[in-house]
Amino acid sequence: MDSSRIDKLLEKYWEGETSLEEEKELKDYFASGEVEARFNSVAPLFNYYKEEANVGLDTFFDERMIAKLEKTETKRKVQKPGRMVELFSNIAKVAAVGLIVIVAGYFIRQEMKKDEIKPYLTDTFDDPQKAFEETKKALELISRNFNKGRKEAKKITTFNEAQEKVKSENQL
Amino acid sequence: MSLEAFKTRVLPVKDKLYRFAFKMLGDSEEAHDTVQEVMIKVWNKRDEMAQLENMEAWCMRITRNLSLDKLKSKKRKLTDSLEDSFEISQGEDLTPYRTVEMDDTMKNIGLMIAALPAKQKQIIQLRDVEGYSYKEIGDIMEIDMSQVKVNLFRARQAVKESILNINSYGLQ
Repeated sequence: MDSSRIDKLLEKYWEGETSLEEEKELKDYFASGEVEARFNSVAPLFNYYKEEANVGLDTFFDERMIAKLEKTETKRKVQKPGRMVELFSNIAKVAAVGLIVIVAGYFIRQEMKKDEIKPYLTDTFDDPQKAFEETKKALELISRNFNKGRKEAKKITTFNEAQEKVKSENQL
Repeated sequence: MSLEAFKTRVLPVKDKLYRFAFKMLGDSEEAHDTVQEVMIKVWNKRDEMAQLENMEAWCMRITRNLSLDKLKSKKRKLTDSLEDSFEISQGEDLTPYRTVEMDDTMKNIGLMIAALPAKQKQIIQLRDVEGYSYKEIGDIMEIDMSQVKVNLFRARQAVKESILNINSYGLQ
């Protein structure tokens, strides 16, 4: 092969501008055995690449691989009914959650209905006499407590009066 | 997708997935496990796969993400275990099922590429070893095309520089 073409291709190669065909051309040239002495430093590189492409797995790999794949395949087939059961159990889970939500919703609605009944409209006593007594009791309780409070408040007014007196005397 | 279709469409990608996972994880055992996990994932999602335009890139993306997850959990587990981190950077276990022995220069190149920043290392692997287009690399790495180009350029510049170094110090 024309060695000036190899020069050109090599230059392109180092710049990373060669096409795959051109790279193959280089590899073929350096493997041909008729390499010019000035390429002696570069030739081993291309021969290395060519050699590297021959590295491979041992010949028994295929058999082992296929045996393995067939094994996983049979496992899968065996598992198929299991998958269906799994699907149903998933559906059952969803259904159970749905049921709980519906039941809970029903009870919550019942509770809300109870709350809607306004408390001051419902009667607590049937007998008006009894109701009157109860009301009286309640009012008495309130008035008793109210009076207690007023007693305490009276003390404060004495203080106020005293303060007023002191003020007026000071002004005099 | 039937098992037959899986055999013809997905299984042939296994070596590419393995190489990518291996480059990221630096451990052939873990890369092997990762590819298995990817295959199982793909198998479980095979119904979605019918709509995919580029299934291979999709598988590569899953591989990348799984590898990243593994790296993360590894970092958590072995924060200060020097021995283990050594194992990653040492080139002894670099290529487990290699057909041809590499010479020292090629081994050195491998070590140098392994020492590149993660993004650049992955892009070199995807472009120069696997021969993916920029768009595919972008899809796999979930970055945009300009990012791919920039990182590829930087990676190639770094590779070029260290090749020149290897040469000028007479390490070849």
